[in-house]
Amino acid sequence: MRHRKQRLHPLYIFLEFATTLRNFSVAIIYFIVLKFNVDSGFYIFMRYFLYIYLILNFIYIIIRWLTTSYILNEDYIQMNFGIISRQRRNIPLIQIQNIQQQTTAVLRPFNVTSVILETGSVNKNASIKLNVISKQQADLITNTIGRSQSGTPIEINKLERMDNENLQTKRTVHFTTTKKDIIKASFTSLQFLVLIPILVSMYFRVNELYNIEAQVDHWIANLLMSWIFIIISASLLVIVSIIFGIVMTYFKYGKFIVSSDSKHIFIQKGVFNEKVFTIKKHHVQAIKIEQSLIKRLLGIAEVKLVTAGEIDKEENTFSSLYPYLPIQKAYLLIQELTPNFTVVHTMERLPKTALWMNLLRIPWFGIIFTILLFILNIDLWWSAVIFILAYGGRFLQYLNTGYIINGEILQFKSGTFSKNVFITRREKIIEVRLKRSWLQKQFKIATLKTVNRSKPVHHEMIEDIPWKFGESFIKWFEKRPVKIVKSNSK
Amino acid sequence: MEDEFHYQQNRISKKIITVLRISYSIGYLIIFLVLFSVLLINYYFGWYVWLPIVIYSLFCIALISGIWSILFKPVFFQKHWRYHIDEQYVRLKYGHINETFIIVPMTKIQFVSIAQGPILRKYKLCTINIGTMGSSLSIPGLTKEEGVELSKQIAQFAKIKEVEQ
Repeated sequence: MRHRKQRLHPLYIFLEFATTLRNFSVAIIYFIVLKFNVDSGFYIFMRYFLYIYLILNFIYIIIRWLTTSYILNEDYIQMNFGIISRQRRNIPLIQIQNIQQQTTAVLRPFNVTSVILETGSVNKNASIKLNVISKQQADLITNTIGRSQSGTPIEINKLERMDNENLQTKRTVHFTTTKKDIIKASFTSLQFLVLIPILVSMYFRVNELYNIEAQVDHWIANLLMSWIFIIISASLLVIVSIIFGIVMTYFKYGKFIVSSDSKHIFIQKGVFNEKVFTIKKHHVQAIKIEQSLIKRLLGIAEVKLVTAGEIDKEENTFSSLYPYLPIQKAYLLIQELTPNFTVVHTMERLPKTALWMNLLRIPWFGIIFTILLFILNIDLWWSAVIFILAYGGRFLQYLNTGYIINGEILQFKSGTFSKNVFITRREKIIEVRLKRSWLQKQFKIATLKTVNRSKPVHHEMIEDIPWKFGESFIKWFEKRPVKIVKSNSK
Repeated sequence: MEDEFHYQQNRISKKIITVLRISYSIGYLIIFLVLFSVLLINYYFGWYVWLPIVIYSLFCIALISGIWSILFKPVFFQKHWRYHIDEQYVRLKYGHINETFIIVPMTKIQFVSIAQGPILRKYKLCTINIGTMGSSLSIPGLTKEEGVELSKQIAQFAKIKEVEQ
């Protein structure tokens, strides 16, 4: 029974068909439900067209299910698919950068899930998506990958017999969202403001139909004007919108669990649609700590892991450990999850010349803005405001920028009103660019750019560092310790 | 400053100056032709009164930048381009007014290719493109033999793989 071929779960057929039905729902409701008794030629034609299309689609999905299979081995996973042009995709387990498990609310009761295996390659064919498979199979795949990457592959049959609980006991949970976190998050993200436009648009729509305003004018104008009514309705509105915000935030960020074992980090999220993201600790390319102005005031931060594989379209290739972490907790989490990335709190400041350089740069935005004001004949005082903001921003930028090399760690800090910290390790940097303009040369400063693996690659830039630091940075980078292995010439 | 990066001693061929001059000349010729034809069309149809002023000022700008790009820029370009390739790193340096230093570990290089346009071919020159995981670097103005030799060398060095930790 070794390496047997596995099919996707039969539920796949129904889910895919449900998707088709959903895509055609408007047409189906219109032609089959609403206009079922209309006997004009066009409607009859459309009805039969829909019937035939749906039947053919169902057959097509069944064939696709029959022709899609995968084989899991100790060191690679193979996927076979395609009806007319057959494709076989082989991915060595060792190259898999991260694993994603998605369980939508519909799938949950059936104990099935879908799994996406990502390699770091830019190539489109470099990932495998197993659309609907049983939870057991998904766990088996995850565990096999974990084993093969940690260098102690176990025979699959053995793994299969092993209790799942047994494998998961080693996980320690580092973070789960509490009620307090959710409430904090809902205020920080201003979710409660979402309700206001909805209510306003509802009001206008109702007004169109029943003309509330006219009635109000005649009937209850006095009541509306009374202070008590206004206070009560306003506070009701505030309470409702706060509750609404908290509920929305709960759906988004509730049940957020960050856990890890000795080699992997697991991020689980979602109340209805569950997502589990697994990454090997050593595959973390860099860490970003981001704080917007509001988050800074509230002492909250977002920690993002830069990884080589693509994670999610909406999340821009970063996987965020919960976006509303208390800052101390954030530092603690980084320390616990990725012990080889340490955060240094005191960094080198930019030299004074950097400030001069920054002030000397041409304020393009202000100039264009002023010209626009001039053309549109608006009061030119507004441009003064813009210039003050721009130069104030530059001054803050100068104050907020920091950099340091600490052993193997490189750390940048930047931001005007927000604060962003970027941490990476020497061996994770894949390219360095050191630039200086003529003016920077006079000030003995330079601009440093680093590139990290991600999808697409992650660029990080720090402006106006001392030239001396740039030089020592390159020397530091050149001494990167590399374990070299000769690859077999193919 | 130069001696800090003294290992970037390899220069690119002097013939690149001529090549760049030719290609810039062609580019600017096209710009002038376009501007001139717009001027003629405007005159013929009598579109706008202000258009000739704009075009004449564009002419002036193009003339100045053309003189700079054709006469001086290629010389500086060639004079300040350096590259160095060893077992571990590709190092590039170019520009004088705006200096740029690039360093890429050999292990992060994914492919090397040689490109040669018609003008480059006439002067027996080529450009090497080095594709890393992220961006693509190019070394211009190498002689054909140098280019082939270098790309072979890079391919050889890049074969050595780093252990993914």
